[in-house]
Amino acid sequence: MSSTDDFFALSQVVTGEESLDRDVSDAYFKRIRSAYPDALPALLTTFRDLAGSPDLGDALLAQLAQHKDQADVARQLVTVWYTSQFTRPDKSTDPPGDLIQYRSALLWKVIRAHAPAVSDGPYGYWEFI
Amino acid sequence: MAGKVGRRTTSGFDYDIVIVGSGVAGALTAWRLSTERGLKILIIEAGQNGLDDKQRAAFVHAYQLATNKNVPAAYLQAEGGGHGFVPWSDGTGARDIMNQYYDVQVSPDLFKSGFMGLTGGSTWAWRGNTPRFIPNDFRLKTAYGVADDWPLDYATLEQHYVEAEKQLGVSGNTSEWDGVFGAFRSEPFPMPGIVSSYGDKLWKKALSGLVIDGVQVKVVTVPQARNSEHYDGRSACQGNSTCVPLCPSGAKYDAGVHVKKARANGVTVWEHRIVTRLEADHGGEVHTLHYKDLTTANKADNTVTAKIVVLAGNAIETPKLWLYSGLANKSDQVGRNLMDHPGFELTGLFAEALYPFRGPQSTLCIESFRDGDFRRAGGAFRMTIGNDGWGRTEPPSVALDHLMWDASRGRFIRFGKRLQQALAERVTRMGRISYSTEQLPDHNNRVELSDQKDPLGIPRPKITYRLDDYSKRALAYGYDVARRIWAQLETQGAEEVRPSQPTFEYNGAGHIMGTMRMGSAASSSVVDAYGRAHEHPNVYVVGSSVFVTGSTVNPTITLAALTIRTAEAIAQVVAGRSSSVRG
Repeated sequence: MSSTDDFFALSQVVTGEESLDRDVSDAYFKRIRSAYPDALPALLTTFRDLAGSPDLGDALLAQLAQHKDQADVARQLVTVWYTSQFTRPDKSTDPPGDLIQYRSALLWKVIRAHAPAVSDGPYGYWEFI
Repeated sequence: MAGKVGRRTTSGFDYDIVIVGSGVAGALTAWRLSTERGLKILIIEAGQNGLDDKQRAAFVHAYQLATNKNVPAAYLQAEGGGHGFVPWSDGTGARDIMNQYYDVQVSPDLFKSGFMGLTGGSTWAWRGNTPRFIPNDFRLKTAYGVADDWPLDYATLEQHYVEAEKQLGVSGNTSEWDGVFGAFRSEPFPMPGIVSSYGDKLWKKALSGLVIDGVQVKVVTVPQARNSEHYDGRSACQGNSTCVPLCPSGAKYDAGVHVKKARANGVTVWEHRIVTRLEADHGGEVHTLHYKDLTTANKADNTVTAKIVVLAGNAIETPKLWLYSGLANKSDQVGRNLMDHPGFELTGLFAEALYPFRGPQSTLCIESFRDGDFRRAGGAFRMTIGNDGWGRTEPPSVALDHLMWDASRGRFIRFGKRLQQALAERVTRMGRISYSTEQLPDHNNRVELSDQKDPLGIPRPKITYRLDDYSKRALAYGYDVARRIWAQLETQGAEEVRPSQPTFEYNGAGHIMGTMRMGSAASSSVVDAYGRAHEHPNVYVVGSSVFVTGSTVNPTITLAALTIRTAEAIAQVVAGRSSSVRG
């Protein structure tokens, strides 16, 4: 598997979301690799080595508890999927790459809302769930 | 000169009327007077931005891709924003932080409300709430022995409220508002009230029958200048959940509506020009306005003349311009009595999912504590129930991190499906109740000229502001009532109510009032009941700067009603049906 394949599979595990967009995944891969050029490959190697674990999530969680730098980048990986932005090592914020990323931030889907300023709903949609 | 003046008026001035500022007061003035035959009218505006769909889309795009979703985020690209010529930034610090422009070095408390330097003014970023004043708001001195009475009463202004609601396009439930504390309505709202959200219905059910201090806590739909149906060429609300800082659809009223209507009627709008000084003649009339033309490479100084001048800045900029111009101030009231609606909020987790962040940021309110004998000692307040979770204290992105990451140990708490479940369970239950309090006019709360200059060399506003005991009692009572409301909800399963103890923390409401107060006597006020300056009879002031007291409610619909009244008075003057100015 390629690094982008590993990134996609890892993203599914840490977000808990199976139906991730592959193009968005590739874009996030580039953004995070640019900010974390050493830690991301290390995280992907760790993830690859866990293939076949009976509970991949728990196994990964245990590994990340041992590797702070990988845990940090995994945290940003979750954050970018949920919010379309993340924090770089220097504490600056990497902004949403485009509107597709902004609109597809998982946070809003999980709480059954929509990204701010993109409702797409008719008048009164907010009355019902 | 850079601004094209064209033909002079029959009275020999460049314009019959020059209006300084294009916020809701300036825009309404221009539109109303543009319906009079033959008037040559100019608006001078510091901001420079389009009012069309393309501009709105650009603001929305900027907001969506901004990392910090604060109010200025949408508008930083607007010419002027961040260049030091408009007040939300002084041009030297972070461009997205408001109020660096104010000189507050000597202020006991911080004045926390800012404004926008845009064509269309701060209505780009308002929530659209339009509750009217109640009768006692105009007669605090008579009713409760505090502050001052206005030179007009509710009944006098009622027809202007009706017109203002039509112009702005207000959605409201007439049966809920007709007669509230005596505030009768002669006509229904132009549109039905905004549909309540899923969560709103749960709030109403949970608080049904609640009585606090003998007062029934009644939850009603707040009137808002946001379309609940197609109105005035604009769509119904699409529920984008970003009323503040920006309505993507234009369903929410902003003053650009009337700037465009005024333009269509022949009014000239000069953007990116800042009026720096008004020049009075020996008779006390003001006919010459000095301005800086920011459209020129050297920001050229220039002048324009008018028969009548209307100052439609806000309660910071109008007194600043007046003082810098050295205009008459025998009453010593110019710049004084600066007011806001200090407020705060209590958040908690509701017993069940409210599903916030869908639809308008707020549609419910509690008006039950807006009046009563307690106003003799402490301020009244009104309350808002939010539909925006803990957006101000723990936005969803922060909640995500709290649930995911143990900051003290630097390790994950959870991720994957377990994180999803925790997030859904917590964020969907987040609710808030806010209280917005009445602040009395205080002679010492004021705007003066600072020794510090803005990048154009104009003095910045020096602000002295203090919350007095009357305001602090209002904040304390507001907290107390909000806490008891949450206590009722706790019996039904609510939890994590914060703050758990009374607090004197406060937020600004963005409701900048006072500083050019109206009154009958020239010795104690700046303008008369029509907004006409006592000492400069061809100068009118519109906006919430003329407020005598501030009530508890969002000021826009009241200032809009007063503005229409002032514009009608000006129309009478220019038509020669009332005492006229020279020329």
